[in-house]
Amino acid sequence: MTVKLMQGNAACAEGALVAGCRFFAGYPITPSTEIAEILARELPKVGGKFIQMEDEIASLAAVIGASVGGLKAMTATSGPGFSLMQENLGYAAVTEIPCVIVDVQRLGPSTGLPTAPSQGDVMQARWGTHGDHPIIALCPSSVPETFFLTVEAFNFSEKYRTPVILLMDEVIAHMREPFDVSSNSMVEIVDRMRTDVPPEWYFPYDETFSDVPPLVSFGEGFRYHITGLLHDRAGYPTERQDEINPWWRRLFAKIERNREQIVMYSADGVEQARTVVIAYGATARSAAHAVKMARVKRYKVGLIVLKTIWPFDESLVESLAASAHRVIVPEMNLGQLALEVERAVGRSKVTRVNRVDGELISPRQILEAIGES
Amino acid sequence: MGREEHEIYEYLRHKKKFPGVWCAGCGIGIVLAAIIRAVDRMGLDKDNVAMVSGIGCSGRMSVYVDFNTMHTTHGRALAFATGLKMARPDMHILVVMGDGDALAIGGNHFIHSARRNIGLTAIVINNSIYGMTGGQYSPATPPGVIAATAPFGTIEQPFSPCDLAAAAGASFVARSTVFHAGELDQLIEQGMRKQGFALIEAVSYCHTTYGRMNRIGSAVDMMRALKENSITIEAAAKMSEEERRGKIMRGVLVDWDIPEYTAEYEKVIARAQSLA
Amino acid sequence: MSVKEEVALQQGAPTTKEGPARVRGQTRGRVRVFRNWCKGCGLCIAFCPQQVFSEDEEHHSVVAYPERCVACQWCTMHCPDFAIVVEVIKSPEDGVAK
Repeated sequence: MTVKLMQGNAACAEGALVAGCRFFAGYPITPSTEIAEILARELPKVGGKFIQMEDEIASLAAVIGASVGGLKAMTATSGPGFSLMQENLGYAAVTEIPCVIVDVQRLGPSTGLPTAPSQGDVMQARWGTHGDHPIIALCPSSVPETFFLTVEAFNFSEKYRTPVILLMDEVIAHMREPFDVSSNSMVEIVDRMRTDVPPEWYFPYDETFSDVPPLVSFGEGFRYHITGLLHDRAGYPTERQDEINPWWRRLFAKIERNREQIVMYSADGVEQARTVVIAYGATARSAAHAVKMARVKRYKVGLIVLKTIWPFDESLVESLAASAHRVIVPEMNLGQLALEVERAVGRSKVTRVNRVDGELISPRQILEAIGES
Repeated sequence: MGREEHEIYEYLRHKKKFPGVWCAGCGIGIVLAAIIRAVDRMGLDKDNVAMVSGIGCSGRMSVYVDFNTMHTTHGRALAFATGLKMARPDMHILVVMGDGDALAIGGNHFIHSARRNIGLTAIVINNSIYGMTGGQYSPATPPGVIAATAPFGTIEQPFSPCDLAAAAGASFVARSTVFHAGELDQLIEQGMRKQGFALIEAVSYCHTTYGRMNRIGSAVDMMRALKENSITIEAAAKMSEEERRGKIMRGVLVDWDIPEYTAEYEKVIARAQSLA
Repeated sequence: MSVKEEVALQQGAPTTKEGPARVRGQTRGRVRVFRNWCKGCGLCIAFCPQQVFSEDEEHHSVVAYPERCVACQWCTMHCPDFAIVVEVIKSPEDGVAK
């Protein structure tokens, strides 16, 4: 046992290194800057590369370029920077290039409260970039979980050839918790699938063998074209409906068909619960405490903590909350995940507990909502 | 030159539809041929060459050529290329952009790529207009020009990408025109051989938008104008201010040896590993 | 001088000491235009120093005076669509291309 008192941002950096990240490009922004600073120091030690780019747009662009060059790559930012990254995020989604984008949420919009927590980027993570696209977004609610979900973020991005967003918040990022690091190196690492066909037969967007085509890096003898234009299986731009529609199906299928592996959550006491609380991130900690207090008062209350925010599994939530008369969704925004929950279980069943003034939602606030249900 | 012209076809992607998407008489194809001649002369392994392009008519070049190619978002080609170069410092990376892509939306990345002196060969095909979108004015359009978004004439002064790159710290800056295609491929080769950030401005024209809106004439007329209105830097040095005014200056403007970014970063890695 | 050569002279074809289309001791070229790739931009017709090219009814380039080509490669370097190849052939002493 090696227990360290570790900061959330440090756990994220550690998770990245263990997952095999060897490239970071970023721009300083509170409350994510520690991730960049730690990786600036640690990456070169392991032969990795760090660069501070001129803005967030360039940061994600460089991350994508490095990934194409064969390195697992990551950037970290907060709300304003995440907004800037949206165009290139769409590019990564359409070109199916693995990369990890950490968004340490702070209160927005605009400059907002730079040092205060929030969960205001949930919908932006899903729909921030223009056009339809699938996305994976993970959300830790503790320092150790930040480590593990960062590793999972890299694994998912490599396995499904997709950008993955790690939605942290300022509280998780800056708090310190004890973390047993001795088993860190034993986590499962997934690398991008290589191809086993000769170069002339390689199609970078081929659907023949699987929803996820094997990705070959530049310089390995397979010279192919990557473009943000809608493209055929060879990567060349196309306007043909008989090429575009199957491409859409595959792009979404590769995430949808793998929901079982991607959607991570914990559910406690939901069977026969009268009230169910669904929470994520820092708020999940208050929710856990509230649920404990409620049970002392004999309330039959269950708790679902989502670790995967996107994709949102409606049928899972619906079945977990089946017995409940009320579903409470506390979040540090004015109701974003609540929209998804309402869609899954019905608006009349959902009570929102919201807070957007820079303070955490307290257990008492959630307990009150449980009491009123 | 000579027999090697046939080699052009070995560098074009056989599965792509030719002739290309550009208008009849456009200079972009001429720049592509110049790039291929330079790469061929250097005897480079195609697997070790990448072309990263921006958005616009110039950006459409990358799909046609048999290298590792990436057609990126508007203005950001240099940033994507920076990441690729960091991951693969051994690769020869050409970054092809138009004047709007490189200097307007991409201006920030242009400045910082030059400042870092990162080993990329940037080729800006400057036709002083946004061609693909129909002829809007760009940061390279002179004043008094009719453009799609300047129906009463432009009032902005342009700036020179070469001056900008030089001021920002690029180690190689050169300019030629699509009329001087032989000179162009030599400058591209020089730029590719350079350790550090190389900018080659390839002055071209857009007869379809700029030429038509300003009644300048056909591609042939605009090509002739490039021939008649350009002078070499050496010749310019012997001319008066009057004679030089309004002329396109061709040649190498900057060529110095300064540390290249990825090479400097290797030293960072060595330092970090020795201290670890 | 043949009729063709007279017509060419009237049209402003370049001449040498020996007259048009006979270039002694100079490099010569065999020109081919890939018509399917030619977009008819007219650059080769306008700028060929030997006026080798002309245009057909659909304004595409054709090699009108192949014997005049001196393999300067202007056309191959400036054709925006790579539609022209010029193969270098050396002329023997009598100035007539093989």
